[in-house]
Amino acid sequence: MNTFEINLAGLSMRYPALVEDLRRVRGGRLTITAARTGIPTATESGRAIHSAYDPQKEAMTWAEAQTTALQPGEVAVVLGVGLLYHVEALRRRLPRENRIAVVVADLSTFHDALACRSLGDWLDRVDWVWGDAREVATTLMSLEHPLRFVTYAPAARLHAEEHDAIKLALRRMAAQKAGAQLHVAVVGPIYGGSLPIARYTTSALEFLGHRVTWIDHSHHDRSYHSLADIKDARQRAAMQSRFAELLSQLTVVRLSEDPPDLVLALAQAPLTLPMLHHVRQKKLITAMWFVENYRHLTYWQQLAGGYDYWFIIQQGAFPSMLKQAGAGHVNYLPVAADPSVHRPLDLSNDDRVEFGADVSFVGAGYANRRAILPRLIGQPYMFKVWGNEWVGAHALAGALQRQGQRIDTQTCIKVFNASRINLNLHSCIGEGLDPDGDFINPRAFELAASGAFQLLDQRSLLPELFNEKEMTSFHSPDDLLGQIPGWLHEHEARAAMARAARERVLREHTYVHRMRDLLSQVGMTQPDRVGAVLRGERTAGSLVPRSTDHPALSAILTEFPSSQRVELKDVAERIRSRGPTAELTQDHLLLLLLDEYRMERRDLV
Amino acid sequence: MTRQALIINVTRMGDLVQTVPLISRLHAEWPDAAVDLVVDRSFAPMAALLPGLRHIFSYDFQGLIDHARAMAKDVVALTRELSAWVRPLRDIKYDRVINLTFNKRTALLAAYLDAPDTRGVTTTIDGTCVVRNPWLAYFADLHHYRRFNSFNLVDLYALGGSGIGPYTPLTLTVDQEALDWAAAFLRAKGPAMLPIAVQVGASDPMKAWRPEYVGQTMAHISRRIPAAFVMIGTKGESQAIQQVLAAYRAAGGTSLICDAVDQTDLSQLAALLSQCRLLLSNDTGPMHVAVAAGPPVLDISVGHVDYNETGPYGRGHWVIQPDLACAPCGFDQICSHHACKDRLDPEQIAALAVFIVGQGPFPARLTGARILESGIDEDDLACWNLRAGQEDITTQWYRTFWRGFWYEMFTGRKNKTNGLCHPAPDTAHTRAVFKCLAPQLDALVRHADHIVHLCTRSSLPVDLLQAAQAQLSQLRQQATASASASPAFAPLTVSCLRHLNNVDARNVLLMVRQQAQAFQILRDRAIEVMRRTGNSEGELGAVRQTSLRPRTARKENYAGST
Repeated sequence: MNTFEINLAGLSMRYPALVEDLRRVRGGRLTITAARTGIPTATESGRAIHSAYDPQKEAMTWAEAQTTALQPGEVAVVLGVGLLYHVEALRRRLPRENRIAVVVADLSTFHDALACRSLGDWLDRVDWVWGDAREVATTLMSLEHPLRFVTYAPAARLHAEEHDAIKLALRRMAAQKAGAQLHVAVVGPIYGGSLPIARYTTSALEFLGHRVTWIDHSHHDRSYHSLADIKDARQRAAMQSRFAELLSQLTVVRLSEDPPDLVLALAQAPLTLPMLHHVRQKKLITAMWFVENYRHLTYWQQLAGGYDYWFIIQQGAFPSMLKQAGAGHVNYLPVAADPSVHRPLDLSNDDRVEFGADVSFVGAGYANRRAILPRLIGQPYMFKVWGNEWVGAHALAGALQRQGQRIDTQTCIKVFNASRINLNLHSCIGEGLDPDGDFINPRAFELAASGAFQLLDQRSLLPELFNEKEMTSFHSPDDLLGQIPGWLHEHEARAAMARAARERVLREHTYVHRMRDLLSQVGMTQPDRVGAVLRGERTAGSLVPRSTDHPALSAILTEFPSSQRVELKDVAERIRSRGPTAELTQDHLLLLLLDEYRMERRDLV
Repeated sequence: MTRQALIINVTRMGDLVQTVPLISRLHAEWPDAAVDLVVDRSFAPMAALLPGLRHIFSYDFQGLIDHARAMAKDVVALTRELSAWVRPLRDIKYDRVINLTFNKRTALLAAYLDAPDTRGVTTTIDGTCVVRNPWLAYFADLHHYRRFNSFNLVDLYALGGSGIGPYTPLTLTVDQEALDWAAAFLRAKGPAMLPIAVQVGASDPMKAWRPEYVGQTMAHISRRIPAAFVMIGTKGESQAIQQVLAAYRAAGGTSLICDAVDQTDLSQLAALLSQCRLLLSNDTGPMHVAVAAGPPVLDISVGHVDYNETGPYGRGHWVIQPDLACAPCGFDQICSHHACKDRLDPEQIAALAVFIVGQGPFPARLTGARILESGIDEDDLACWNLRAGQEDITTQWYRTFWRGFWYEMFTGRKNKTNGLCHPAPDTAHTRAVFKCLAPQLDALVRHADHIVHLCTRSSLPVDLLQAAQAQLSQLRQQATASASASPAFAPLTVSCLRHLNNVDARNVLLMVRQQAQAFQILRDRAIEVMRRTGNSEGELGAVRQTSLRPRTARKENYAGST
């Protein structure tokens, strides 16, 4: 019997299906050579998978580094197969209570490993997970233990796409199963486009049943803008910087009053890098939803290392640039709509007259819009422009509504509902369409959720969010002008597309979806914290069986409803509520002692 | 059988050094004693230098705060982890636990350890904080009347944690390797000069003198003597040290600067200080290390620092304190001006430093400050002798008065220091206050006794009791208001309040008895104060007719104290 067959025999008892699958594939993806120590090592397309000198020593170093993060009871999910030296080292190093699940993204590579190394009995002490992304995710979820991904990068890079797909599938499943007892502090900006998103985010989290503390800095808008009156530029910048620092400290003061499970900052939230470092040092988990165009607003470069998690609306080069700048976890998370705000309206006749048009545009007067929109003037259809910052755009004077005043969200939605075609033209500095147009702006989702028809400038990330039956786009100003007359005459087609877009939004693109996604992403990488709460492992029912060696604690935990999340604070409150004449045991005193440490604030602020 | 004591002193480098005489006294009290210490992990290296300890139990309390506060661990994990550390401590079954870290956290820890003799902050059975031992209760409350305090923290620790005993200087265990390192460090800097150590930073910016003044002081010293300045401190203090050096150079300082900042471990720091001729310092941890290491200390006592409480312990140290009505300020006060720091003249401090190292006369001229020299008095307690400047006569008189009063009350021994040659400077005012206070105290005692009587009835008259307790509270407020008007009585009310807060009884009758006892002690003490402040028997007559016989010069028993 050759090495491959011996290894298959070792797997056949627990994994007959895997053995069958392995017999059907051919190996050969990896190039096997002998390392200096004489044992096999591997390369793929000339790139080393394992050390050419001593793969075992290298694997031991890797395994040692991974074990520090793993908590008791967690499953180590290994990404990257190679010749499995790293899996073997990890198995030797980890206690038995930590299961190891190896994701086999490609059976051919696994075949190579089984053919060239006699793997021995540890093979049977590892869970092997294979199949498509959904199957792998389902198997991992069925392990019913917290999962912590450990990546052996030289081998994992061969299957990066498959691994991303597995993580995404897992995230979706986790989101569906997630309990809803987190406390999230949402830190909003002073003003700007991310302010309404902060509101929608807050609503979505509350809708999901989480407790939200919204740290709303929009109250400081007038004070902040009054600083713009300072004539000396240096003084002005210094004052603005100090103001931002003050608000940053204020944020931390608010956080200290009721420390959350997660601090979720929206773009432009006033949190300085030193304050972020301080907050992270104090073990609070921080995330930034950077709903900005990274090419235009570059402060992410300074703040990259400050947040534990970055959620971004662009892909391509940005994630790696952000990581290079110091960010740890980077995830794509497009914006969305809030269907309780952005919705179809039954408009009165007066509203239809005031807000209706054949073609409408709502937005601020950026350069490209000033260049393109005048071409819609004088056409045989009614064109209206709503929004502010249009000073000097004389060509649009006839179309500009309300003298170019800013309009509120409700008015926007009336315009969306009353217009036959809504033009959605992403802003950019040049005079044409954005040559780097990638992300989809909030307006696209808001229009869709409102049941309104829109013509959107071409965006590279559109196809994965909406298909061609749900949203249509133009690739140039001429194309736009060419499409409008046709769409104006296709009432049914417009309505069908708007309906399909709204359904897609309701199905996949609301802020509730985004928050589910965001939390499950954080939960997957924090299985013992946010992940544990989402999985319901911090409920009284889950804690009681673990507390048997502390009868006093166990007794208190049983006083809570089984499904209620219970933390130290709740236990201590329960003890204190017994009143001044209660006779407390030593174990009660210990719990109160712990709670006193929890309540310490001086080092945080 | 070996007697076992545990000292809880979680944070602060200086506090740990100041524990040394207590450890020594515990060994004197119980010659076979085993003394252990609980300390935060970050202070374990300091604790390792303290002589006379059996075990040092360190814990990452900061980590516990971080994990508990951010809910990084669930309640089961937190409980398990802390239990795993603290249960073995309880299993040791200490004879005495002395908690010198005055907060609720350590109070609960002390209570959890459940020793038969617990001193300092602990909790009652329902988790309420109480302070056991009169000396440590005094320590807990001294901020209310700190201008009348003259007990050093070191003595309070030793008296409270053990009892009276001979003076023991602060000492640290410094190994030979560290001493050799320090000698080599100084040798490498150049030919023999007068090494003067300088500590610029402080744990609280309030108590740090301005860096530019420190630099100017060094420059003045360098003009007078061939000094070499050994700069000590941590990396975090580098910015302030750079400011000092810039000011030093700007003021024409030319002496050698030996940079030891962030270059020493604690043993090396102690060794280095032992080879210096003087430490110029704010009131900081390194100051206490220097006291233990040997050289005299010149302590610049600014901000909320009071040299009486935390000044350098033992003989031959010096303090300079600004002469300002608000100095020292209150513990929790946030000062907007720090004017006390501008009150001190660098040239005068330099002159004092030169005098201390034996290279010049005592400064002839002194403005805006007072200079004090440390000593040990006839009761083997730390004391301060005013060498220049002035002190408010009433403050000075009452500080001496209360030193003797509390010593006799708490120890039952005669105070050997005879500092009061004159009657109180405010005798007339004291009499007037007492005239008003005496009947109030009598009413208070009578009413408290009445409540005890109510509680002895077979069925408890709840409504009557509530009404009586409300009236008692009113009487107490009246008496407290009267007493607060005079330095002869105000500290008594603070002590009485502590006594009431310390009530720890498991039934109502015991509680009201302890309450009545607290008011009795208050009245007795007020009478005793009148006697000691030079008032005649006749003046006390009116009160004595209705009062119980005062208990003087007896060791008093606080509720639950030892």
